[in-house]
This record gives sequence, C-alpha cells and structure tokens, in this order.
Amino acid sequence: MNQLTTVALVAAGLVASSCRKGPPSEIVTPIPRAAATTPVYPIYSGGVPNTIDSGAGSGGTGGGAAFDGSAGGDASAGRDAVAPDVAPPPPFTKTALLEAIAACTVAQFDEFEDRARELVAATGALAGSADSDHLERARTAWRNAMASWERAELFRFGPAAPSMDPGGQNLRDEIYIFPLANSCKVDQQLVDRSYTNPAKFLLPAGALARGLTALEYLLFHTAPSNACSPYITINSNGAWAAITPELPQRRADYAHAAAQDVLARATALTSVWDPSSGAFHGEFVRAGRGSSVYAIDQIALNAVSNALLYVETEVKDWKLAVPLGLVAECLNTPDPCPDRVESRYALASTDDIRQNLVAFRRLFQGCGAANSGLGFDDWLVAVGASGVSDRILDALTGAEASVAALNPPLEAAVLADPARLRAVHTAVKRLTDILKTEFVTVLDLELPSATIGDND
Amino acid sequence: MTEPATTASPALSASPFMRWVERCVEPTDIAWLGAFRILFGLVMCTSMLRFLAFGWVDEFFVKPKFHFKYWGFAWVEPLPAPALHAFFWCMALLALGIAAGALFRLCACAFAVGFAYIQLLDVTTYLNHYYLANLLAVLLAVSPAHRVWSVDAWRTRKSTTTLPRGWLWLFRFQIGVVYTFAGLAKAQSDWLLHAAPLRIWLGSRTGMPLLGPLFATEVSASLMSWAGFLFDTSIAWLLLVSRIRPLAYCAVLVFHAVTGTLFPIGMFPVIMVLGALVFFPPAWPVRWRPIRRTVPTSLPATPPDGLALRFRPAVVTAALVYCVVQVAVPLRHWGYGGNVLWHEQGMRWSWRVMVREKNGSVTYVVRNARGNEWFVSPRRYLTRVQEREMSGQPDLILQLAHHIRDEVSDRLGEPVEVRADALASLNGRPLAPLVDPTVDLAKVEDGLGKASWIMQAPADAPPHVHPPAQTVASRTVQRPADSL
Repeated sequence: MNQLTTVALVAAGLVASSCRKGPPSEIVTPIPRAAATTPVYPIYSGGVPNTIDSGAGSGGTGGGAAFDGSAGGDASAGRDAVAPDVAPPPPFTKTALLEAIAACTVAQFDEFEDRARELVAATGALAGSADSDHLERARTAWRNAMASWERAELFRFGPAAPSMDPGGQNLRDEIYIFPLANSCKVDQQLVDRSYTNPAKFLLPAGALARGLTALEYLLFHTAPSNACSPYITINSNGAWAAITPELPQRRADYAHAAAQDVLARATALTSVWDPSSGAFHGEFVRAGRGSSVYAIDQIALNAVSNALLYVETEVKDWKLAVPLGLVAECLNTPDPCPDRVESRYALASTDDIRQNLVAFRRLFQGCGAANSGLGFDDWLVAVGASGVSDRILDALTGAEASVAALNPPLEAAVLADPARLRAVHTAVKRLTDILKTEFVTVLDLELPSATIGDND
Repeated sequence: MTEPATTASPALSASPFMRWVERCVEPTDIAWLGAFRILFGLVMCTSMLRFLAFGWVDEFFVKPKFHFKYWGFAWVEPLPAPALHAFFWCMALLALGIAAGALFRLCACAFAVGFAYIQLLDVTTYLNHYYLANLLAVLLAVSPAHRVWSVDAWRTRKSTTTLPRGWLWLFRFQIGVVYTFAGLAKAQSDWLLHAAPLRIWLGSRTGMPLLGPLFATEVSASLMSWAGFLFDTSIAWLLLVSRIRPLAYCAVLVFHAVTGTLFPIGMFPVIMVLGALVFFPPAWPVRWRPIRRTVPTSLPATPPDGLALRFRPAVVTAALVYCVVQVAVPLRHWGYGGNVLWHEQGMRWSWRVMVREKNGSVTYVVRNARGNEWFVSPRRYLTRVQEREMSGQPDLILQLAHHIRDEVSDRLGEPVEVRADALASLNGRPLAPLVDPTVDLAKVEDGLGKASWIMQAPADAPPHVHPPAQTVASRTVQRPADSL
C-alpha cells in the first residue's frame, strides 16, 4: 500500500485503535480447563503409569489420544489422573510461570534421581551375581531410568544446559550424551578396566563412554563381539579375545560403575535445583528480581523455550530424520539407517520419543494432574494468542498420535514401514514449525542473549 | 589554495545551478564538523571494541562455515581468525585516528573501506546503523574535517575556522534521510493500526523497572507506535527550526534513551544522538566551554578549502547524485509492490528500523533424478544467529539453496533439485509459506527483478496480543514431589 495513502487512512483508525477494550484487570486469568482444577503435580513413580489426556489443555483442542508417560508404554487404559482438589487455576504471571516450571523441574529431576538409585541397586546386584535374572532386573531398572531421563531431556536449561548458556554446567551430557556415544571406547575400557579407576574413568573426555548410553550398550549388548574395528588395538593384539570369558562380569562391573556415576550427576542436578538449599533454584525463580543468572524474567523464559526446541533438533532431526536417511549425512546412503536409532540395543526408541513428548506437554501445558498448572499455553492465552496455543496443542496431539500409531516400533519401522515413521517426522515438524515461528514471535522469545548482537 | 569566488564568470554565476553552487561553497563555521569527527571517531572505536569484547568477531565471522554474500561481492572472504581479530584492533585504532585527526585522510579512508569490508562479509550481520556509520565514515573521509582541532592541523599549522556550507547541508541531509524514511517505513497498517510489532515487544518487557508497568497498559503500544511514527517523520524538520531546536533535541535524547533501554540496538541511539547535533548552528561547539574559542565575527568571503572554481560544479553535482541515490534506494520497494516486510525486496538500505518481528522455519528438500529425497536443515551450515536471520529473508534462503545445490551435486555427481519448505510468521500472524515450495530454487537466479518464487504476504491482520500481568501475589507453588 502506498505509504502516504496509508497515513491518511490510518489517521482515522487511531481513534479506533486507542479505544479498543483492554484486558479487564492487571491479572489475566487463563481460560479455566475442564479437567485442570488443581495445582498439584503428581509425578508417577516407575512402574506406576499414569495417563495424560492430551486434549485437556487451555487451547481446547478437544479430545485427543491418551498419551502414556510410563516406561514401556503400557498405559493403564482409561485411568486418568483426575485431580481431587478444586482449587482454581492460578492467575498467569511470568513469575508464577517460572515458579511452576521450577517445581516441575525439581519433580522431574527428583524422580530421575530415584530411578538412578534403583539402577545403581540393580547393577550392584548384577555385579554381585551376573546371571540372567539379575541382568533382566538391571535392564528393567535401565528402562525406567531411561524413560525418566527422556522426560528430563526437555528440561535442558540451567545447570543441565551447556556451559555457554546462562547457569549452564553441562550436567546433561554427563548423564546422557546422545547423539554422541562411543561404544568402542566402552569396549576398550572393558579391556583395560579403567572403570575401576575413578581418576581415569571420570575424566571429562570419558563422557562418551559413560552415562545412560554406555549403560544401554553394557546391559543390552550381550554378544561377545565389540564395536571396534579389527584394526583397533584390542582386536589386533588379541586383548578382547582374552577377556571374552569374563565379559559378563566385566560388563556388570562397568555398568555398576557407570550407574553410580549417573546417580552422582543426578544428585548434583537435584542439589542445585533443591528449593531449600540449591543455589540455582533461587536464581531461576528470582529471574528479573535480583537473580545473578537471569537479569530479567524474559531471559529465563527464553532458556526454557529454547529447551522446548529439543523436539526440533533432537527428536525430529536426530531421532527420526537420521534413521530414516532423510538428512544430508545420508546422501551417499539414501536407504534408512537402522543402526542410527536412539536405543538400538534396548529397542526403546519409540518410548524415548513418547517420553520426550510427555515432557514437552508438561512444560508447555502444565505439570500437574492432567497437565493442570501454569505452562506456556497460559502465557499465550494471557497475551491474547490462544490461537497459537491451540495450534501447538493440536500439533502436539498429532505428534503423540503418530507415535502411538508406530507399530512396529521405531527400530523395525525404519525398514518395515518407513512411511509410518515418516508420518511421525511430518507430525513433529508441524509442531516445531509453529514453535519456531508464531510461538517465539508472539511471546518475543529470543536466542540466548550471549549469542545475539545488536539489532537495527 | 583558495580562489576568490569573484573569479566566476558572470554568465555562469547567472545560472540557477551556479547560484546554488555558490551558496554551497559559502563559508560557514567548521566547528560542528570538528566536533562530529571527534565524537564519531570515539563512537566507532567503541563499536569496534564491542565486537572484540562480546566475542562477535568469532561468532559472526569466524564460527560460521557459510557466509551470505552481497550480489557482486561473493569474493569478499573473512580473514583467518587471528588476522580478523587484529583487523578489528586496527579498525579501533583507525577510529581513534579519526577522532584525533591524525593522518586523518588515511585513517578515515581506511576506516570507511575497512568498515565496508566488515559489512560485506555476511549479509546476516546487516544493520541499518552499521550502514549509516559506513555512509558517515565515507562522508567524513572526503570532508575537510581534519582542519580543526586535529593533530594534522596542529602539525601543518593549517587550521581553519570555516568550510563550505554544503558540507553542513550534506550531513543534515544524511541524518534527515534516516529519520524521515524510518518514519515513512512505519506508515503502514501493522504499525499504525495494530501497533505491531511494538505490541509484542512491549508485552515482553513489562518486568522492566520504572517503564515496565506502563507497558502493561493496553494503550501503551498504540501510543508508542504513533509517537515513534510522528517522531521519526518530523524530527529532522523540527530540528531545522531554530526556535524549537533545543526542545526537539531533548525529544531526540528521550526517544533514543527509551529505545536504547528497551531494545538491543547497540550503538544506534548514540550514533543518532550524535548525528542530530549537525542540526544545531555550525558554531555550536565553540559556544560551549571548555572548547570556547573566538567565533569569527566576520567570516572570510572566500571558500576556505581551496576548492578550485572549475571543480565546484562537479563536486556539487556528485553530492547531488549522492543525495538522489539516498532518496531513491529506500523508495525502490515501490517497484516490487506487495508487502516489503514480507518479501524483503527493497528492505535493506531503506532505514526500515525495527518495524517487524519475523521468524521463520526453513527446511530444504533435495531430490535427485531417481527420486531420492533428503531434508537438509540450514543448521548444517549456519549458526543460530545466521539461521534466524536467513529464515525470514527470501534472497538468503535462495542463496543457501544454491550452496546446497552445489555441495550436494558435487557429492552425488549428479544434478539435484532444491526446494524450500519455508514458513514464516510476520508480526505474530499464523505461519504461512514464504517461498513457493514447488519451485526448484536450484534453477532460480537472484536478481533485481520481482521474485515470482516468493509467496504473497498473508492478508490478515496481526493478532491483537496484549501484555500479560506482571505483578504476582505471594503464593507458594506446591512441589510436585510433595504431592506424591
């Protein structure tokens, strides 16, 4: 439109614009949710699945497939975490949202610490007696811990984030370093037994051979083969062949050492997030009110929104596009790459993604029963962008449904039914497209401030 | 050498153009330009040091594996990291040289060229105020700014008190163009009717001390949008009126203090506050202590800079051409039609300062002749900053598509098609395709013509977002673990 003409036209519009009815009060109350009537946040323990009604959000997407947050995906059909209380939903403020996110984070890391402790116990028992029964129990403990951590993956802000981020201590990579891993290094350490020497085992460079990734390899790869090429020393000098009779015991010992390390890292995370004593918890909830990490609340919320984009980078690209062979790295091998799935030994890749989406919904919609409590959807509603919230929840429901429809599981679907896996990729992309455009735009969310320069 | 104006032939002097030329070379006090040179040099030195201190040299120029190029300048490549750091240190020293007026011509020319080099390294680093700084550096480099309060003047004992009036007009024109076009860029419905994107930006800043509560009100975005529009379109003209100039400059100070506090616009407020000083009477610096000097009560009747008579028309004509270009370039978007904030053709060098909030999501779809298909994420080539800038600018999307075409074709040894699944949200509107997903960008060449492969802008209005409440009642959020 011609600018000068526009000036004339909009002059009359100024009055209308200025007279538009504003929000009724200082406090904006989110649209009440039908099933979200309590601020309590029950996080289930391992083996006690709950069912989350994905259609219960303020976005009012309506219905939606029940989405199971439990390890293994065996939801108790029809069981819903109906809130027993009738407290009204809290009013939206950024401070309240930060408090809700902090509470959710604390609960998630607490739960993972419990699962890690169980994993230590199970691997300890396995190390005491490396039989099939103890191995199966250790595997179950790993699955439970992994399911919990896949939910915790979305909480990659603060100490869990890379050290270059505000408050980052890189603790996430110490627990789970996907998509990086080095199974050959695990095998090398099985030979030299460096897992018995903490000074060597816990070196920062050794993270590739620790954590949940190494544990999966140790607990689920029981074949006598190793992941190193024939030219690597342990194969060329016969060292691997020499320890083959001891492999079950060595793997069990290694797994126990790795589980203890995971527990130590988990404890570190829960400590810094401890509301009563953890330094970081205070920094987070006081964002913009004296926090030394987050000068303003928007920076803290930026960090959380960046964490939500886990579904873009890790889920869509690494967990789906790479195995499907859709990425440029697979140019010369256009066929699917089944060995690039996330949990190739435990065959838990479908559940990994399912848990990621469970955590996404918790962060986005609320961490309480049936996703009650404050979330980013309430922020969107509070600023008058409920349509964006609706579209995100709709896309999320679609992504959850596509994962639920993934049968056979991801590891098999890569070869047997790539179209169905491609549908998951498309559904997740639909979600991430909205996140990267409308969501960050209407909430004015930015890249981490350290990486952006001046604007106009 | 100074030539008397009276040497002009009567015939030439009689023409309107020559009479105007004569007015351009009438002497005026040089103090304003000396002060501008000193302040500009110091600001630019600070700007270069900020690049170094904030790690932007590495972030913007060293870390990226791929750089977006300006048309015709694909040959401009970043220096190796150590040399680039040294380059920025040199630029800071050159800026100090400008401020001190030491080897001024050399320093100013080198700085202008060096700053242009920085701008040309990567399109995603384009900022309006960097462009302005570059233009001012060029103007300074060819001006006689070193003839007062400079090491050069002290060393050569050639200090002067006057310069041709045309220089003052030229600098005023340059600053006036920035303000006026920045205002005209706001003369569109998103800004004036819907208060977008200010409505979005202010809504996220309600937690700011002092100003934050104001932004929580419904009318603040509309009021500030109109205030910004009226300020930008009128301030240059108001600064020209001597009676209200002090008041207008106070408005400049307040406006840039507020915008500098609200938005991460770096040195822009400082440059504009400095630039607006050129609207004061040329002798303003010597009317203030401690640099008071004797103001010449009767200025010499001859141009002081030795501008040869025969070159005057050519020099003034060159200045006029510069001015015409400065007006024409921001208006070129009219030739493209549509919404320039969407298609971005005619966006750069147009002083469209802070007029849009735009975010995009781009995935390239590469296909070979056998029908094999790959999704290529821009992240494979770009930093997050680059990706964010690229995802809203179609010409950059095209440029990366060509890079992907070349790389993949080389690897596969066969030609490939490259399409872009590019979605964008402008001022909070629902996401919409920015680039035609059916067009093979591998075959599209960039150019100055209207790009048919860019989709039409969404016709709907931006969402009426409003600020959330900021104050929170004291309450305790129950810990999830406690509820188990």
